[in-house]
Amino acid sequence: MAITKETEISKIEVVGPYRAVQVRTDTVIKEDGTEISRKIHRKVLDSDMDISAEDAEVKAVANAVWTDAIKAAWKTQKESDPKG
Amino acid sequence: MAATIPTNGLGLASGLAITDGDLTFASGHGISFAADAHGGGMASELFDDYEEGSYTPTVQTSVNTAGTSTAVGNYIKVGRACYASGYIICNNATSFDGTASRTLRIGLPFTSVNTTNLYQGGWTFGYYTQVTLDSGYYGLVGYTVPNEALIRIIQQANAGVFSLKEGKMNNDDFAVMFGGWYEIA
Repeated sequence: MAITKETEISKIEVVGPYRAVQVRTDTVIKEDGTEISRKIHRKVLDSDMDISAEDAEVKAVANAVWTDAIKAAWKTQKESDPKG
Repeated sequence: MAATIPTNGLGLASGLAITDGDLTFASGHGISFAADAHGGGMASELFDDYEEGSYTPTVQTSVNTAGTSTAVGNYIKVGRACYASGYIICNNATSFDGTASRTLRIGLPFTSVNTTNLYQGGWTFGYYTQVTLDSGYYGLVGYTVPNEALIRIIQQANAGVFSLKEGKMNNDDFAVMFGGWYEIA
């Protein structure tokens, strides 16, 4: 009986006008190659975040959509306090 | 798969009972309620997603993110409705930003829906500690701005609301428990 643990990025989604990058990571436990457990972890990356430790595919998507205009727009949005 | 019906689908006149196994949909498909009556503002009658999992909540200002000794979060996504909850204990709360006037936010697992002026106020803070509210304010509430994966934390008073600022945390161990529903993109 072999128990294995695999981690895979199952979704990378670009969302909204500020191009937030939503990442879903699945941790899959298998017994003799048959899945017996799956755990999902989510995170949202915005254009002001440090993504140097992210997976190469995530970085590629983020760098493709995070233009200077997007970064500037997100900075303005985040610094606003519309109901404060 | 034991059998595939290639065209025209399958009609069932007496319901469907699955005695074992799951009902699995291809991406983008789900359960359609289009046969039912709907409200005038209806945007979709297709239930096409369910997901539950974890995420790591954060305490942030517009510039920096606080370090944490505990940061636990779960979510349940039902269609485009998401319930998120979490517990955060900071370990450098009084110094992580360095600008006392910056407002505090909490990170979420999904970006909120892009609907102009739809500020979502469904957040509750059942517990918080190591924070001094401004005079006259008695509690914390929160709201989410369109297109953000953030809860904006605000103080509540009889006369109105006011943002909770980084400078109101009076100990590095600022901690908060929160939960609520919001509509996501």
